[in-house]
Amino acid sequence: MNDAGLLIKIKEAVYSGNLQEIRNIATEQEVQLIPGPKILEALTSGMGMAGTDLYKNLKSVPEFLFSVDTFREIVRICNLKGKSCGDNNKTVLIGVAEGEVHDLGKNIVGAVLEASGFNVIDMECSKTRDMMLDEIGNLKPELLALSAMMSTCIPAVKDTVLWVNRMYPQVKVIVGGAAIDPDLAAAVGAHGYAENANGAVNEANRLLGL
Amino acid sequence: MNLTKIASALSKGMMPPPREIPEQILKFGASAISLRARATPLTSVERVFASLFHRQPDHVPVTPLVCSAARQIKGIAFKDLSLDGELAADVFYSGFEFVGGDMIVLMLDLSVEAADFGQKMVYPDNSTAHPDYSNPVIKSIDDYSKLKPIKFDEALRMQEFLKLCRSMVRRVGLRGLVGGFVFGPLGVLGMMRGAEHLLKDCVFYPEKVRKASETITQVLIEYVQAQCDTGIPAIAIDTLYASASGLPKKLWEEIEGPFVREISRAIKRKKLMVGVHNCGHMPYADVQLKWIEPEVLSIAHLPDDCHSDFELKQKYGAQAAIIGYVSTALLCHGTPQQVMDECKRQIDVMGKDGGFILAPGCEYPPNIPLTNAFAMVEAAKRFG
Repeated sequence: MNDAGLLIKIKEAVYSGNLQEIRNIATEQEVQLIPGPKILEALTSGMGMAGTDLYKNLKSVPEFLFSVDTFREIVRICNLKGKSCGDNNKTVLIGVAEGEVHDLGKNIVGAVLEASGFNVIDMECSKTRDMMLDEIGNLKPELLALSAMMSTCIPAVKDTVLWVNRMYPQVKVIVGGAAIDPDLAAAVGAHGYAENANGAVNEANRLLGL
Repeated sequence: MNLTKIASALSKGMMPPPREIPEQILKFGASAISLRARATPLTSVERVFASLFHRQPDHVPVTPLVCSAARQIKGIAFKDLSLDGELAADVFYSGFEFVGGDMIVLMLDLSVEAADFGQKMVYPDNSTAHPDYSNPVIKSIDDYSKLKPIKFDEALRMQEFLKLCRSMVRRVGLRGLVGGFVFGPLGVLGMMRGAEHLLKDCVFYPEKVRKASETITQVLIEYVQAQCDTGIPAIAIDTLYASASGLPKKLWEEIEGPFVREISRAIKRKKLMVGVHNCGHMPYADVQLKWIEPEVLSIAHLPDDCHSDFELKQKYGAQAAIIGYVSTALLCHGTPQQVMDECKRQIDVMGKDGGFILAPGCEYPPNIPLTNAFAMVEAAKRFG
């Protein structure tokens, strides 16, 4: 099969969340010869379609999670992590607010940002404000993406955003999650708000001038 | 109609099980109350009762769902609220006394049932109790079938919740309607497996999830029946996964639908009313009404098949009274005036001819001042 055919198969496997199919494709010798950015472009396209379908409620959350798993699998197999397909090369630090235990939304947003060409660094579990500030100091991201599902975490979001704005004014902050709406995002001092994964990409592009 | 049961409850100053009274009599009573509302103010119970039967009350009933937020009034810690039924009753009752409202829903936290199934918990100082997700009960697919029913008498947190119900029924009496609460079987499983894993398991291993749901449902039926025996008149079933935040509609019907129907029927056999609470994004109102047949529907967002509040009331208002749905984000950042404006907007659209109870979409945010809860109560009186 030629490169174009393989890339279409990769895109379709990611879109449909077919983990086995992507494993089969990834082991084909021809795939090893395709430049990484080309593969990432196909992945981005497949994830973009999946994200749009999730936004339109044509794909369910579990179906979208399979797309994320499939995307991550080929990135792992082909060692593509951190190799942006786009020309933005921007780093996004993503995490949940201090005290937050729900990370499903953060994982979805992280995967979509990654598929859109951002270098995404996931803080994974909940971190304190000071730990986040340390991470920003060390990793120097252009953007911090913070999620809160529980309203009990809103004071922590506000506090974190306040200190990020004070200590790292060059870092843009977007917030999202069930406990937050656009007005609340503005009230806590965030630069942007995202209702869903697609919105996060649009906000990131807007804030970083991409 | 069991007159002895009704008389016994009333003689103790408690609400009798509403469904002990035949439907026709209830409707006639609601009409009579509605007629009287034109001349004199109603009591909270009368107001809720008229609205539940789609008759116009004196003003829209309101419940600001001040649950754990009320711990601020007496300075009770989150942990004590979670683990001690009497202290929890102090919290809920002080919220009712201090802020007001016509109805109280005993939403404690979502891990009461899971904790009794052995889920390791975290009790933070400044936040709601939650599972320790680094140590879930269900670590792999095989663990679903290992889940065994628990001895209900030894279920510490559920037993404390029953104490809360009993205490609130006694304290509130006929001054308001006190509703119980139960998390649906998938919600309980989510607490013991983690949402992301559970959602995937539902697709790949539906039989295993169903088997575990069956085990949990056995216990939940015992739990809701025990809640019914405390004297509460209604119980809300939380069906979070029946929304676009959870499972596809058809899959939810296949996995959780039959089990929540069993729970609902167990409540109805005790002659109580059933509510549904779902704070997921785009809840599936149609299938929840089909499987649960509730009297009330409490939501935080518009259902997947409704584009406006007006459509929500038109489509589902006749089947169930709508409870909702002021945004909790607005309660966090809005001024009391903004909150009252939003309440007025919702009352104008959904309040006509009863069938609407003003409330937040979910529990009043626990860590913010109570000012906006007062704004909601005031809005119901002013604009309802």
